Amino acid sequence: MGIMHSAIRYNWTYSVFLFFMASFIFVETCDAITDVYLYLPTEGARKIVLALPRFALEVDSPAYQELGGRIFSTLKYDLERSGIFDLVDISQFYSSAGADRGAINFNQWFLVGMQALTVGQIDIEGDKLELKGWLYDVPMGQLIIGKVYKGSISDLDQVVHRWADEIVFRFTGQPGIAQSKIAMVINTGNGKEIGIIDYDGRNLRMITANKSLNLNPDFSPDNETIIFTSYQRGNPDLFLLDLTSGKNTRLTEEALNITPSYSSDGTKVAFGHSVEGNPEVFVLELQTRKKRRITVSPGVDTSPSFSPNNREICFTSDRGGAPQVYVMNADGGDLRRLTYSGDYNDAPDWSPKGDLIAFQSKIGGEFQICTIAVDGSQFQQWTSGPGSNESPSWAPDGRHIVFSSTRHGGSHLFCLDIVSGSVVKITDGNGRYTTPVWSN
Amino acid sequence: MNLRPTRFMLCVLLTVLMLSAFACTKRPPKTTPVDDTAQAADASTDTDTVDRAGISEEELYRQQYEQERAEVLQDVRFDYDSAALSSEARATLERIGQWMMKRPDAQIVIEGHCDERGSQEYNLALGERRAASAKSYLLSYGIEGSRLRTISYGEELPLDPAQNETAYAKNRRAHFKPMD
Repeated sequence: MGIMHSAIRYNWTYSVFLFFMASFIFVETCDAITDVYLYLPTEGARKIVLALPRFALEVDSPAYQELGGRIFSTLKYDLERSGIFDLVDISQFYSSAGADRGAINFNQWFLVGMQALTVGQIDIEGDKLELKGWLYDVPMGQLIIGKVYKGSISDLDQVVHRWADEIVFRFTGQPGIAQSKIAMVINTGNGKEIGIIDYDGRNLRMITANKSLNLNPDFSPDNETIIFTSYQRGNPDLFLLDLTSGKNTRLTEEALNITPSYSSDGTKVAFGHSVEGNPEVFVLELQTRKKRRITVSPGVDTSPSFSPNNREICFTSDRGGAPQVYVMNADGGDLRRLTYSGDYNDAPDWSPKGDLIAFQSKIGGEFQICTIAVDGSQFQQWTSGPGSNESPSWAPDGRHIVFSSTRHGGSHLFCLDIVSGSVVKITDGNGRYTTPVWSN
Repeated sequence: MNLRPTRFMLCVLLTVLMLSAFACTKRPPKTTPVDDTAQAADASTDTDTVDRAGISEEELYRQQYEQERAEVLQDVRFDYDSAALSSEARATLERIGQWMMKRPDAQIVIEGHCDERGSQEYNLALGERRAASAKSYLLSYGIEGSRLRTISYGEELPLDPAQNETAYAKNRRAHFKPMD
């Protein structure tokens, strides 16, 4: 083959190449030398300088250029969004990068400051796709991990996301978030429906279409079910929607039932439920459908979120005269107020790492995204300026937060990285997206 | 409940209103209607009561009932982030209570709404409190709970989508409509 000018090699004629899996992604690992190649997980540490060669194409057709461009831009986006890499455009050294380890001049990569290098190869056969990815430690001249993913072309984004997550995992010991999804409410102009997008805002899929109000979705821990409030039967009730079968199950039948939030073991849902017009926090056992009242106060108690160990619940209450975030044991005991700054704090979401609670706080007349430690210390405001920033929801990595904002007109979804403080807009078009929730 | 002064003033007001409103209207039939649909069905079969204009007494009653209803079921407005009833709100509720006493067949849904400046989540709860405030006033007036249903729409269904104080004030409301 000589020098590989392409990290993507298209193969039109390999008719007997084995693709057993048409609709999902098949993975095999080759040459793994370590489980986790821990490099730098800590806050404030320097980023890893990672060389990501630009993919070139052996078959120079517009269709395949588009495909190759999409693969490269998706991987680049994923690795940038992870926040742990300093990606380097190294196209001038491209001719020295091949998928074949023997063809890689690690010394040259090292001399130009690279710490890691990832190269890949894509084979296309009909509508089938095979991605081979390799990740190298440049100073050591060593393969960190190699993987083969097989799927269909319609899975292209998911295949690339999967490889990106693998790369992140090798350096942080935690799965990346590139395969995660975000559910949100979409104002269609004829009701509010729930949709799901990839974490980068692409591949929108509507999961309700009842032209009613469908609000405040939350993913089950296995991401197979969405719980939400819907007015589809005339009353604000909780519904469970199985994302595979489409089965829609009504869980409540009277009064107000809002802001549902799963426990991390998936057995319970905390939610706001009114007793004679007074919203209180309840916990519903999904197996038995029995609900238990947790809060007792004449004020509003709502928007609960379980701690990752399910022992505590944070929620919003106006028992002190204005909406503030409180924490209590899951049985209602040991209640304590968490937020004291500002007179309007709501929508708390407990980090999957357990240490922080994200919420929205009215500061200078606008809602801003803030975090606070569970003991009430480390208050931090993350957004500022005009526009209302609302409904924060943690990514499974405990580092990123999705929220809605009106800062650019309409209501779009944005993603915050609490290590760098950077904010990325993830939705396009006319802004009509609210109350995002990240999958697990 | 400290309603006596308000009730007194409203009774005076209502007496005046009723004198002017009902001085020229026909009294409704004595029969106790079940609901509007039943009335309409009865009217279509009962030819004996059809008058020269082709309108039955039941139909006249229904039209009058609906006119009264439209007049009396006015929105109750609230202050920002509050479910407390203002004196104006209580006056509106007094009129609704009076009318419901007079029309024992009337059953209403009380919708609680909020403006968009609050948070979406808290507003769903606040809307419930607003609807509940209106309901408890009517309960204290003597209206049976079975005739009153509450539902909160939070900030989801603004009356006026504009982003100014006039619109916000319109959107912070309890809205009343007949029960289906």
